[in-house]
Amino acid sequence: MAAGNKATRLFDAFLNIGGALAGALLIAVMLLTSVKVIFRYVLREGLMGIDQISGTLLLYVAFLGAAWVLRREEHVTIDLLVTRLNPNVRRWLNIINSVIGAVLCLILTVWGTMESITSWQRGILIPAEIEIPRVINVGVIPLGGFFLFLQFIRRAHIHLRGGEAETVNAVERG
Amino acid sequence: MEWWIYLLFFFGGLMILLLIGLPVAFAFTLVNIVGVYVFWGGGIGLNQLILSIDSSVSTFALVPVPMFILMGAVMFHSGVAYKMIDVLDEWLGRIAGRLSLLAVGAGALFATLTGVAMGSVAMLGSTLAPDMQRRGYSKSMSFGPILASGSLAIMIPPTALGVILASLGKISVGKLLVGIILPGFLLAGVYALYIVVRCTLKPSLAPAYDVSPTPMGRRIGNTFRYVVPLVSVIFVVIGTIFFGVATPTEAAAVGALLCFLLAMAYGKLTWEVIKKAVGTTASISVMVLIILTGSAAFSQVLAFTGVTSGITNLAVGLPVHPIVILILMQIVLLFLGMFIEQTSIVLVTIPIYMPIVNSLGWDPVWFGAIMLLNLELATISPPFGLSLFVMKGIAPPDTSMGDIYRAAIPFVGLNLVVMALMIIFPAIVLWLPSLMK
Repeated sequence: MAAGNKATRLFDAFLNIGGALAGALLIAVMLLTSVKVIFRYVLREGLMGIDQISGTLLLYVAFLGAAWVLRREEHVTIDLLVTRLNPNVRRWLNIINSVIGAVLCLILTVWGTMESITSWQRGILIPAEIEIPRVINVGVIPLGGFFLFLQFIRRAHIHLRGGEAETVNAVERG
Repeated sequence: MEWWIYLLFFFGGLMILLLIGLPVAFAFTLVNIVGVYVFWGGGIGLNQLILSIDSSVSTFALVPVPMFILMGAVMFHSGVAYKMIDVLDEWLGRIAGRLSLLAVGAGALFATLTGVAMGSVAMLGSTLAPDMQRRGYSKSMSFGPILASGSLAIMIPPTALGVILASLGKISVGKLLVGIILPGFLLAGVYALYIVVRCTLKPSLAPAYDVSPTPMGRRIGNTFRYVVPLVSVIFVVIGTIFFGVATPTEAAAVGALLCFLLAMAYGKLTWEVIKKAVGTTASISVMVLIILTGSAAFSQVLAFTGVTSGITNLAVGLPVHPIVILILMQIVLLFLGMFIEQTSIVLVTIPIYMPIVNSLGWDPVWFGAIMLLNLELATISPPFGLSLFVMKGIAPPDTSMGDIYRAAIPFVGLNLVVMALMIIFPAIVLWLPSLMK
């Protein structure tokens, strides 16, 4: 039991780090782009690759923060039908949609890992302003996918155990 | 197999997944996974899906989305935006329907800075609506303007949804942002006119009350202190795009930085404010970006299976005037908008709509502006508009859904009037972009 609690806390810590990194990367995008503008108009010099790096950072923001947002139950859902059902049916629907989510995130993790390994082994570069290895971009997809997979499994488990009310509260208690 | 069978499969599958409560982003991903697996050769298709996820999101064209959200988050969490609303309140004096006008103004500001219409409805519904009720305002003059104010969210730039629509539809982000300025202000003007005229003709709708007058000197001082700097930031963002000084990405990033500096100048930029503003921005941005990860694959699968060309040929071949097709397209949007969140609607419809727009020779900026107005209109359209239910949730207990419908209907009508004007006089949208450098 203690080991389980420790693992949960560790997992939550990872999710929080993901959320914090997502925020930090957005600030980095803001600063990098502003520096680029300052360089162009004040120092009369262009900075190459900032737009490209900003785009890559958006991908990192999406996948590093996705599981954190899922834990907070803040991903957009259409609750038109679900909220009108009786609690037991709703609970089972939540279990089913969590399992579906876990399976598809596992697929993203496996194929994302395979694509990352292929990109790395073949030394594929992104043909853009600055040629960065493609693995730098696609590598974050299986990482984010794996944490999403674990969070969906936990979500299913929480619903299976006691119902929806615990979903957020339980993890906030850590 | 016929294209419409694929269409039924994709949209039917998507609907079922959404209705069982799977988050939108993951419903799209699952439909994409099945689509690419079946049509793109199994495992190889899944490899392509990973690459399309990368290409969907890792584009600088989407950078304005989190930057606009960040601007609003900094201004609201630091309290600077609320100061601006107070100053607006000071200027309104004893004008007929002043709280209704304040709702429109404050809602427009809130929504413009956040780009989230339902957030505006929730905030004003819980703060201004009780005051309106206490002062004897009718339900129609209390709830209607609050609901309507959300429409201004995406029609006055900066607007994150506008950037998403432009980015997915391969429309110039700058031109669309500039193109919605006139319709946005026209909409605000029409709302204000309606409120003043209606409350003047029937004062019982919004009884006048004594307001302690603020000396003119203080009003002007507060305006320069709180309104001018914030409005200047918005002008810098839009002005630099308009004059071709900066790209929308650059303008948005500099705008966000200026908001931080502004909050710092007011002495409001504490660690707590930064944490809250960045946390809110990260959460909303992740939510939007993760939905967009499916955009390229979804659009490609629709094209590959012939759904896109099938619908385009059907629409173009209809023996009706193109305006009828435009209206039908808007009705579909209006219907979807009553149930589904706006980013998802853009994701579903843009791959189908843009080929039709191009085939019929319509200006994509003009179409995008009409679509934006309609996306917002859908959220306040009875009987299922999402903002109506938000309003019901925070309205006093004696408020029925009928009261909220009756309050919303005049503003739905005003939106339709502005939309009709945009259709009849495309220059309302296209004149400003035509002046851009």
